[in-house]
Amino acid sequence: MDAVNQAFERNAALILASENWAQGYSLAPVEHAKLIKASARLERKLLLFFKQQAAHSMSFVNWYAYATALQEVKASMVNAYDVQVIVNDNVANDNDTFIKVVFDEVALATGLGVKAGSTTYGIHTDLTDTSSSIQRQARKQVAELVGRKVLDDGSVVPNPNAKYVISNTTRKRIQDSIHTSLMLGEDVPTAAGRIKKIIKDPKRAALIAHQELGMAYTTGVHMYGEASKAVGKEWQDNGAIDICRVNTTEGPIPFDEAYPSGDMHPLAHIGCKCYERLIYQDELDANPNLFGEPNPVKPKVPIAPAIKPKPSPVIPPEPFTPIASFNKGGKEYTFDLNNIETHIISDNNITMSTQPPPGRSRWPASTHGMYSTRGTYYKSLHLRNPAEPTAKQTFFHEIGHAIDHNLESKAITDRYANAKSPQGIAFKEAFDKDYKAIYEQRMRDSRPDFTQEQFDTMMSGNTVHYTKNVGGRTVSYVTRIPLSYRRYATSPSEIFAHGYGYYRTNPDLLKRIAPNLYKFYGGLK
Amino acid sequence: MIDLSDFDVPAVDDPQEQARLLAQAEGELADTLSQIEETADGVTEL
Repeated sequence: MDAVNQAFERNAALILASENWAQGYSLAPVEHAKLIKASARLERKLLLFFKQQAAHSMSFVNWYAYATALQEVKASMVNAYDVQVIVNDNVANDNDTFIKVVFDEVALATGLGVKAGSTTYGIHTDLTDTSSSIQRQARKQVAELVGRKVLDDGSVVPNPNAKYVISNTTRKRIQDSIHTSLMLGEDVPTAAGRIKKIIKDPKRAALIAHQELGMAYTTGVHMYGEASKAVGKEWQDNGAIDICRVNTTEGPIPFDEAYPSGDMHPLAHIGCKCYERLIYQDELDANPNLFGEPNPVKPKVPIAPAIKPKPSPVIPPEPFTPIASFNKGGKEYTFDLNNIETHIISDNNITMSTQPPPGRSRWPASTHGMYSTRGTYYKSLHLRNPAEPTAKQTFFHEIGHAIDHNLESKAITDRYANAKSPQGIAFKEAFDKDYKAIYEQRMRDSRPDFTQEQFDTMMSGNTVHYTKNVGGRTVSYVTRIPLSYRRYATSPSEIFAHGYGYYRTNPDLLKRIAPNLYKFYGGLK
Repeated sequence: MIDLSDFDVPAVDDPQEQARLLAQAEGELADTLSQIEETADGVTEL
């Protein structure tokens, strides 16, 4: 390895080592140091991978179509963000190279996690870093990254339910880049240069390397726990104020139970540096109430973003009526939002749960609720933290998605948020008149402390600096609205869901700001 | 449901570092948004 690469890895390792790792990592310092070195090495390898991908990125886009669209945008015949950008399928051709780059390091980190468990707890197991179960786990983790899955017989096949596919993220980034280029009126060489820069983004290489090896390591610790017959476990955060704090607050839990975030073990989100303490029978014997009383109702802690600084103790949200009701097929179902675990609404398949949706082992970052028609239950509504102040709006937002997708039908064409469906025509009329009001209200709700000037600055697309009190300290933040979020929050499906949320939680507000949608929801059967 | 305020970043003095933090947060947001899917075997809405 040449001196430049050595220097890169040394610097990357130093930065990683200085991060705020949970205390448990220090119990196996040799393995932790090797994890950090492996993460730095993978970061460098991925940097090279993305650089090589960027070199042939011209072939991912039909540039003749781009030039045509550019003329149309310049002639004001079409809005830049309404142009449909098709990224060629060869963007996925690099997946096999990606697997080769990542696999060995993931297998190594999983083995290091197992060794860390052994160093910390000293219980002999049959697991070694070359065990087939470790290789299998590494294969599974890497396959998931490229939208594939490993079957029981070891074969790797496409996974239509993949939670994350690296080439899909690349595809989305290229689409965003093209929209930006169209908006700026960039010629083909400039637009192509923008794509190259986005693909070889060094931050992405670092993010993937640190996240995947961190996950492999903690998976290894968990595998050791399983092999050494741990009976319980306890989440250890590093001063978090997000879902990890909720997991830590839960205290010791049985080994085969999921943490409140829905994860079986750390990590819970991008940038997570949490750890898992294993609990064995002798500790449980010494304290039979270690896991609490049967079915305890433990206080929940509100979720705050992972990327914000360490706060003082979390202040519980203002109390709100934790009851929500939902009418389905003429029957009223009532829920105590503070006590949702898994609740089957009726025998024809709608469930409510605080667990991640089917096919996902963990919640996506900063997602408060989801609606899914995939998996065993067919229709399921997922509420991440029923104790947070916005839980009721989130609940009815997701119910809104359920109604939009038509509870009694599987056909996408039956959706309200589809202007081509019979139901969609009425919604489209109300949407066109009121969508801006719903979007603006949604943005206001997320910024209750903003002055009007700050709010206007943000809504005009500019960056806003603001301060707020976090646990008695004044903390400065920066924000702006990415175009991807604006597109998401103004899409028909989101307007339908969010507007329905207001219709159920604050109908007077909806009537005032969006009278057409208010009338539309009132006409729903 | 995604709340944009979850993706706000701490203010720092270095403009380049500030831009990096914002870009990182937007990358995380893009990853989260990529969870929205409408495929033959169902839909996922956030």
